[in-house]
Amino acid sequence: MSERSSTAPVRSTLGPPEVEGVKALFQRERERILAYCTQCARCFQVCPMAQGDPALAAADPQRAVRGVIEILRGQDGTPEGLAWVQRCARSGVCEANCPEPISPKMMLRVAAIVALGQLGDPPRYAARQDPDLFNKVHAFARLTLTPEEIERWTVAPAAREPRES
Amino acid sequence: MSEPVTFWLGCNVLRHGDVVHACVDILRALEIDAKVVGGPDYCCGNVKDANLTAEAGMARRTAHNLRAAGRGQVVAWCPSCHAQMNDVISRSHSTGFALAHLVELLWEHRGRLANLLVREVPLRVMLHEHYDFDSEIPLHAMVREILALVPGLTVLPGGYRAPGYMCATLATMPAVMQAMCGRTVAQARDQGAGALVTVYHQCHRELLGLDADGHLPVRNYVLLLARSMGIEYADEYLSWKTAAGGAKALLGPQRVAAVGEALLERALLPEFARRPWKPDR
Ligand code: SF4
Repeated sequence: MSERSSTAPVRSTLGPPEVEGVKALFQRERERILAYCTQCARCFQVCPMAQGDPALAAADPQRAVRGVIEILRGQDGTPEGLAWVQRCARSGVCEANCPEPISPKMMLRVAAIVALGQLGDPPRYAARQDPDLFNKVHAFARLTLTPEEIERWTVAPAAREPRES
Repeated sequence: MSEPVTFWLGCNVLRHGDVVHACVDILRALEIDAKVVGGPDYCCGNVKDANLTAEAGMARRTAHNLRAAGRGQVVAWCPSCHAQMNDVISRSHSTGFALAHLVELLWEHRGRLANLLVREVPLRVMLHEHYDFDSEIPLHAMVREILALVPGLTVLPGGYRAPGYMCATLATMPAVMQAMCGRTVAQARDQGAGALVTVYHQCHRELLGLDADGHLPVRNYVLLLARSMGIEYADEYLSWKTAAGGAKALLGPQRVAAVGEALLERALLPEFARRPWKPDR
């Protein structure tokens, strides 16, 4: 057995819900970010996806963050801001570099949700959705699992009952 | 016997039945009572930000179904599911369970796991690393420690960390994927790696294209652990990927019928033919 030690694992003890439902959560995050973000742009400067793209790396960091904040305000945002939002791959390097009590990773995600028109604002871009997402999951289950495993592992008891509204 | 857990697969790992079965075998050998759940009834909805109504419904249903599984500990296979549960679902729905990633569980049980790893796996490997999906879980460091338990296996220093937290998000950005694969292959060759080891199915699915084209063998860490335990699983997705358009013949008429020919042609065969890297680009 290895004698090296790592940081002890953290089991997330999940707390009680802060709000009711996913939309309410993203809306609340949107308001929190707008209240706290100072547009210092430290998150942008450490982002491997932004720095890995020649056009974004050459962009003015403040302009990029301002664009994201404008999207959250329901405005068009700057081209740099919109490009950064669409490029975010959730590396999460930004998290430790934000001096405010907010998550820049969540900021970019909520900005994408807003820009996709999912929180009541006009859509700024469209994302390709895979219409076969679940068809493929079911197909692969039929290829890789036994019928008994499919029944036991993938059919939730609730799926056999009437759905809650 | 340790605390009973719900082993939450998520959806897309069902492409890799060998990985799923190897995980179940390992948990059983570790005497962990694991109730296995996965597929669309347990979809986290993380990929549905462009359809928030659908995402909200999935979050509600999955929180309900995992609660109904009745175990105090949910162990996620998928980093995307884990992140969505932590960041979104648990903050907007009651859960009533604790959450861990499978790597954490294996790491916690590494003493017992080491006793099960009896067969030599003579291979020099490079770990495919991203940024950890949760800064509080040093996941890649844990995988390194776990792999170091396998007799005969050498884990090379690596050093390159791919952007993002998994390859699925990069797959929608071909230039990023191309650059990432180029650096990965170059580093693996520089260090004399005999294989690249993936942690997540999202990376495995994409990077198997490197193996299929003969650039670099790609193995999932769970299959290496199983092999060291004396359980051999063939990586069937690799055979489909290698066959690409020929996967239909490989599957045979019975399995093609089970999937549906139209879906196979429309969605599965293009996926098998997709490649993450063209070396001459
Ligand atoms: S999210 Fe944080 S790091 Fe980024 S600009 Fe706002 S305050 Fe600065």
